[in-house]
Amino acid sequence: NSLFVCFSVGYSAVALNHVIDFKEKKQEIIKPVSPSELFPSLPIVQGTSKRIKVLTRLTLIVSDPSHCNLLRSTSANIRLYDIIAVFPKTEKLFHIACTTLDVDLVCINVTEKLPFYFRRPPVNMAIDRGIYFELLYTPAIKDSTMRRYTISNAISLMQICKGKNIVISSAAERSLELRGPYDVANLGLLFGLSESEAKAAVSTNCRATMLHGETRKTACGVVYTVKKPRKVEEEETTVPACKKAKTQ
Amino acid sequence: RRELPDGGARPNAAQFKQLVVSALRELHGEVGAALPVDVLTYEEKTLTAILRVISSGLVKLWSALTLLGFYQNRRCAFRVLQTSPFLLALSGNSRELVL
Repeated sequence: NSLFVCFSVGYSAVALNHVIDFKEKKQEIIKPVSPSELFPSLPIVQGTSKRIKVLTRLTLIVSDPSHCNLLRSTSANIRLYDIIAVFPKTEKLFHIACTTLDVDLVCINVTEKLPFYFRRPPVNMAIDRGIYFELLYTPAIKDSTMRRYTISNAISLMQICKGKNIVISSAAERSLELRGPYDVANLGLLFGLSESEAKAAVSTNCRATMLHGETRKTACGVVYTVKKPRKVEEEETTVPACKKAKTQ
Repeated sequence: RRELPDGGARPNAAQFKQLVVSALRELHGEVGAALPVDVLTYEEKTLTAILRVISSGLVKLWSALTLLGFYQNRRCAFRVLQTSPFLLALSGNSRELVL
């Protein structure tokens, strides 16, 4: 039901989130529910003639470095998710997530006071690697203390990263908690972004995150060809070598 | 133009204005509540309204309406359909043009 609201409001791609909390032992990553099972037919986006894309997304709440091992493991199920996000709870984990972990999004906590301050080096490295920082806006709708935390955390993030690589998303559980894309871009203005950055936080940055997820899923290695000089001579010399090998 | 999808309560025009002002007060305080906002039209059937505000106050008003969560202890949502400096532009939605 809430997805139909999204469609009517003007979103072109939606990601269904699945949250894994690592405090409990023996959490297994289950296969994501395929979107085609949930919706037999997806309505068309307002304004274009394409259908809405529904992606699957996994959020890992990490409070311990050993939880990150799961990302490096070869569990097949983790590869099935389109977007992977990590939610670090300590400064060290934030640093690890920005620099070495293979994720698409780093979630920034908005529901309580951040236990650590952002520092410039890991944030700049994350921007170079193409990792985006995510802010949620649904707690701001529910509760006024969370509103204050959301705004204060968002402003401190803006001061460090200068408004680049930000994605604003909703953790909506009901259709009434969803807001239109322009409304969300306006919220970006409240957080201290400039107008173009705010609009990008809803549109281009999200699309870049989707593409980042796709490249993460598909890229296993890079092959590049280098033009070698004296190519003709080399070919001639290799042919007799092959003939020699056969006779031996 | 704003649409207010609700759980079941239907505010009348005065209550709607009160709701808007209280939303501004919650987010931006007394200074926000003092922002002059006019309700130009209000349809109770569809819960749609046209509001007018000074252009420097647009960001405050819009963000206050977006973050409003509750009306009379029920969940509600403001959905902004269109914003424009001209009233005539509000009569059509340019995205739904069929060429």
